[in-house]
Amino acid sequence: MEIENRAYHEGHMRSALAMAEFAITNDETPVGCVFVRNGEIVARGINDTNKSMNGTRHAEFQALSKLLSEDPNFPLHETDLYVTVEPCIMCASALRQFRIRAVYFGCNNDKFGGTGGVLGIHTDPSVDPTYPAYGGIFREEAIMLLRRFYVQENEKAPEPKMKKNRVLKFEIQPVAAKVVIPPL
Amino acid sequence: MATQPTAMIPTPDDIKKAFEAMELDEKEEISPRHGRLLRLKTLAEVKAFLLLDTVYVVKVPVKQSSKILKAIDAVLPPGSLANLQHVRRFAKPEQLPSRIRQLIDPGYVRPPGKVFLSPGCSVGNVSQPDTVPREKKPSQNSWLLAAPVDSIGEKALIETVKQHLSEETPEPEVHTIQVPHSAPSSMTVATKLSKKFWPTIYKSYSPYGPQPAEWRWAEKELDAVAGKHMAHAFEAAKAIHSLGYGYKIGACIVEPKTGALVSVAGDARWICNKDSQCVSQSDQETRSKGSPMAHAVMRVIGMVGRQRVVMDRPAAPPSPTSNPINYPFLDTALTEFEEGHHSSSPLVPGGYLCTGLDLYVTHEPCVMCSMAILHSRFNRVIFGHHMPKTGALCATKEIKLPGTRTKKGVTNKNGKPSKSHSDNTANHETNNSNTKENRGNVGTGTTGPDPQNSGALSVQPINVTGYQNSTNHIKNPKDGISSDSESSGQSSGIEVADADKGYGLFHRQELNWRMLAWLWIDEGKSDWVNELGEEVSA
Ligand SMILES: [Zn+2]
Ligand SMILES: [Zn+2]
Repeated sequence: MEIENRAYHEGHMRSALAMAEFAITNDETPVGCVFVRNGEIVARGINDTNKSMNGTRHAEFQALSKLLSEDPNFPLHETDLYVTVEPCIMCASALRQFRIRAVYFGCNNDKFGGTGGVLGIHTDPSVDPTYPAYGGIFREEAIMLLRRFYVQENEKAPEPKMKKNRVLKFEIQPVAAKVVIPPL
Repeated sequence: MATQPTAMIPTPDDIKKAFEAMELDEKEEISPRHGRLLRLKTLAEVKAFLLLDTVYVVKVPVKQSSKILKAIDAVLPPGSLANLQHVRRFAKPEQLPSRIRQLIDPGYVRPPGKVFLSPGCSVGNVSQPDTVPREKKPSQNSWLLAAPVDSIGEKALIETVKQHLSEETPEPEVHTIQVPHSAPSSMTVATKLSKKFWPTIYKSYSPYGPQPAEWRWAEKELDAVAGKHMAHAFEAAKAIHSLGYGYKIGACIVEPKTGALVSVAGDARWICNKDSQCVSQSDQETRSKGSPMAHAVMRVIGMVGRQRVVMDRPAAPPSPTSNPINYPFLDTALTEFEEGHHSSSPLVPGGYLCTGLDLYVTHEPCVMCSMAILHSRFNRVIFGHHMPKTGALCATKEIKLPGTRTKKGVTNKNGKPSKSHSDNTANHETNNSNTKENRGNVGTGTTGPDPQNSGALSVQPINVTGYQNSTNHIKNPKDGISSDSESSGQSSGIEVADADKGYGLFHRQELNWRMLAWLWIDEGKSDWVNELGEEVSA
């Protein structure tokens, strides 16, 4: 899908992907994000659930915490989020309560997605203003990072099933939904 | 030699003083709140209860009934009857609800002897007016619930039945009727459904959520301690609110095996820097300035993570002293009350997140907090005030407390929505029938006396997804059902509009982690009031 400002969004998503790459080297689920205001990255985040032993320390929260510790009044309503994986229900709600302007993500989060994957927390009737969410920017790259991570055995989680037979798959099924990138 | 006081034998005065000291100790302990637990309904349960299945019933001679049953079952596609395990296959005319009997068996006359109101519910000999004609013998025919209408054609059904009837028998009578799609939640409900639709069976199995036995087992443990733990959550709320850090919302995490408190935290959304400064009063009124990260649930979960890091990774670098309260996560103790419960952790090394732990919170958590609870893999959640606009645990926006009428759109004298709209104490009447079977389910959204408020919904194990795809379900047409035994006329098939449904996040099939959750109905002092505006996310 050819649109004028594709390069702009892809540029920021590339930064988010770089964060996800960094997460892998830190033994964290490779989800990376950047917050962007006026075309500039104002915060970066990676998942921190393993190190913090806290299942709520997702990349979005890590980046937001940096942003708020520097400026508690940071104008999030003028800020966009670029995240390699669709925000989960928790993050989708947090972003809405923080009044984020828009969310751009790579691949869908079929398990916990909060901006369409499982629930539509960004637009459901609620007391906080809605925000738009656009998926599919470098989707394949985001999925490949996740696959690379999941073939490594996650020894911490008490999963009954062994993940011995996991192999890295390279072919990615095309997604029915179109990549939608709005004009700026 | 001076007389030495005999310290060995305590005087009555000593004993009195000792008792007074003990009482003082007890006074410092927080007294448990009085109240009870109300099971939350799952979203699947709420959705399923609205449905009726359309089925064929056919009149068969009692003598041929089992042969015909076998023949029909043999021609049905596999699984056709999976959703109908809670309804009886055979019903004698006298067992039918009179409304149904008039519809499908108008020529029926009552036999002498016993009259059956519903299965297993004999009322003994009922003398009948002499004007009513009687048959000499009990009825020779039974009604067979043959199949859902979408599983077999009417012609094929008739052909199958005819094979087992003698040639002189007239064409079999076939009708379509509607039966409840979901199984009754209790014996009481089974009786009501039997009187209205078709003889219905109560079985202790629920495909829509936790099993009745699971609920009961947990409640056996929690009934005795929930009041104590909720009191801690409430004290945490009061402590944080008195410092102006946040709303009067509190939470605590409990290790259920020992009953020990793991962490306690209140809402600290107004804190806006690492020096515990708070946003201005006017900013607090705009509501948007509060930090969701400092919701009580997020904080109290953060405290568990910190304890685990200390325990499992002693080498981990200590948190920077420049930000001792860890703003904006604020997952350290902020009040004396929170501090008082941080000296020793009851957690054991090697645990994973909040697995096996219970969470108590004074208000229904928002979407973010509810999902944080799921991510943390809690065992059970008990919350105080229902938050119809912002809460995400309940599967319905309105909850019906047993023995009460629902308050819908309650307004105060000024015409504004009442602050205590979701306040339980204002809403509930004492219901003394708090037996295990009479526990209410939250969230049926009905008005008037609710016969369904007892026990969890139960049914045979079936493929739950079936009901979503099947086409022969219709929303219960309220006008089409004139109750023959109830004044409310709404005893079953309560319709909950999509807009009135909640997220029911505590127990959703697609979300990979499911818990038990209860609403705490406080029956204690009048201090239990929901002071939050209805648009506040807890
Ligand atoms: Zn998330
Ligand atoms: Zn919350």
